[in-house]
Amino acid sequence: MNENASTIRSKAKALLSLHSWSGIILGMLLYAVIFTGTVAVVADEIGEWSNSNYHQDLLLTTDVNDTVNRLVARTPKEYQEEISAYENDRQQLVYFFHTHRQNPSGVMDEFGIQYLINAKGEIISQQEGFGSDIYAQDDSYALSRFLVAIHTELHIPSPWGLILTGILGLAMLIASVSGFMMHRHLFTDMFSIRTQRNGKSLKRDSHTVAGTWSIPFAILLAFTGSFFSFATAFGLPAMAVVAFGGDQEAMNHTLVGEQQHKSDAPMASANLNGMISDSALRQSSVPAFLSISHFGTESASLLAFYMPNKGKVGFEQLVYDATNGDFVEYKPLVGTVPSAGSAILSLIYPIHFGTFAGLFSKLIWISLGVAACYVTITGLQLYAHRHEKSETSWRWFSRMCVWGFVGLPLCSLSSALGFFVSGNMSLNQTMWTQLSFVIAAIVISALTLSIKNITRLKMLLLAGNGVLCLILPFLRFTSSGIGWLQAIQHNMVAMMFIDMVLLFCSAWCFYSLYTSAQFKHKSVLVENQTLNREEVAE
Amino acid sequence: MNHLLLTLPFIVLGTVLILVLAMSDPRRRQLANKTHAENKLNVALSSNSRKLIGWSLVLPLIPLILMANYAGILMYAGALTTIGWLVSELPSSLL
Repeated sequence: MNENASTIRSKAKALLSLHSWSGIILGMLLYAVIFTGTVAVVADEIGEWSNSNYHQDLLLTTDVNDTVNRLVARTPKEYQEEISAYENDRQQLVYFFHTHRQNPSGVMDEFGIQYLINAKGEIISQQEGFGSDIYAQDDSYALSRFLVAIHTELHIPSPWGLILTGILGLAMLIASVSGFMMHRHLFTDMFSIRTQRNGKSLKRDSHTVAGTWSIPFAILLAFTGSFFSFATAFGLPAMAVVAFGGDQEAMNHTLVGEQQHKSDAPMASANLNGMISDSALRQSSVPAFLSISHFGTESASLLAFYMPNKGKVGFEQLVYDATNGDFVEYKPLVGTVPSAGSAILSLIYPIHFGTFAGLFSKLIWISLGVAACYVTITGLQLYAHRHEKSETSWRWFSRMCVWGFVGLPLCSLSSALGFFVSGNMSLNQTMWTQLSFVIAAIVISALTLSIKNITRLKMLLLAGNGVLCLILPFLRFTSSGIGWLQAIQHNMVAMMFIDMVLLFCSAWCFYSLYTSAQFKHKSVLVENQTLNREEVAE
Repeated sequence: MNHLLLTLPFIVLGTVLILVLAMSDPRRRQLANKTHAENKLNVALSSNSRKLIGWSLVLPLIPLILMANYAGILMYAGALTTIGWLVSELPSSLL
């Protein structure tokens, strides 16, 4: 009996060590990935908000067929292998005529000419180069792209950033599973949080209760996140080496499910508008993007890509024979025939980012992200609380917690500030968005090292967050001139949503500051009363 | 849009069930009795009833599966997770 008890105790101890170390070593980076992941859920909305834009469904409302024919006439033949088309966040259609080449990093990339076309069908600009370079310099996505890149690779050069975020996903998986296994009273403690003498919640209980509720989704999100990182970092390159002798193009053709050798014999293509309208009718939605292959040849085809709708979770791809405009098939994401692998793969992105039911599902996924952030924060605070009791020392771990937990949101908000200010001054928004983040990080680090009182440091950073959350909606308004009345008229839900979230966060920051000040005031009063009593007693 | 609206009643039902489970939670009541003289947690349910309510949280999955509303299943599960956490965070003086 005693042996049994001691075995259980030692197993519980081992699980606790595994849980603690996986959290403590990578906790701060994990928080950065989870926080920016929560922001990345609304990356599309941030893109629209930062440009005060609303989608006009230009792929349906403009004459795509006429525009493509006009652009084909002025584009070199070599770039007509494939044409991708989508609506950007500045009410323009982006047409990218391209072929496929290895970029200077040795990765297979799209290379060609990108045209920006306005709603009237006029060419605004054109640019030649690799797809990844053109996208990286596109100012309209500067803010959302920067925030998403923190989540996916922490701005560390490829493939190391992806590998690190993959490891962080695994650390989250280990922490979630070990947390689940070591908690003996998982269901009995689900609703109970003990309070301390000062009325605040007990950190351990807050950590376990939030962790218990969010375990299923923590496991799901950690697994899908790790899959993304590792598949891109070395899963696909390894597959290219093992199965295709290093031929990345052949691998892409097999994965995408295309014939490698297509006929280039000229043949007039059918009207693209008819195919787009038909796909929209079938899906009761608007395509997210189009991919037109070998336009004007015997092998011409059109692929319309749709976000999940009608209660489905995975993406849909509709393929048309562009020589006669006939609908061919609902194409699987991978390969040419439907498979379990393709079905699972098409679910991973929507499940990870919550993009399967518009803003409604995103709102729930943001809440799940906040819960995961809360578990990470309370876990690290718990460690700091248990190991740094001294009030006089600098308490480096607690200091780092404040620096990271309150500092990262402030840096992210500063990057948005940099985006708007540089936009108003006609500067390079891509560069200034990044630079503003770095400047804010340096200032916050300097403050962390110079202010000894951690509570004062936290309140200062919290005030900074509150002020920026309050300023940004006004800055957006001054840079675009689009207010809420116009937003309601044009049904600009994404823009209003981000404005409201920022104002809510601002109110929450100031409320936290108010309650902290009240708590401090009460503590001083109690201390003074105790001193008075002691003096009277003497 | 219809599949989203169809999920909402199930989320509301789930919220009510979670609230009942929280208000009848014996451990929560025990802690509340220690800190508050006046106890607002007056829902007393037997252990079996609580188990039944707990299991009934799974019931909405049946109509959602029958309607092929897979997005609704994910939203329902996600919403229950966050609502459950938020209800647990509410102080016992409030709930």
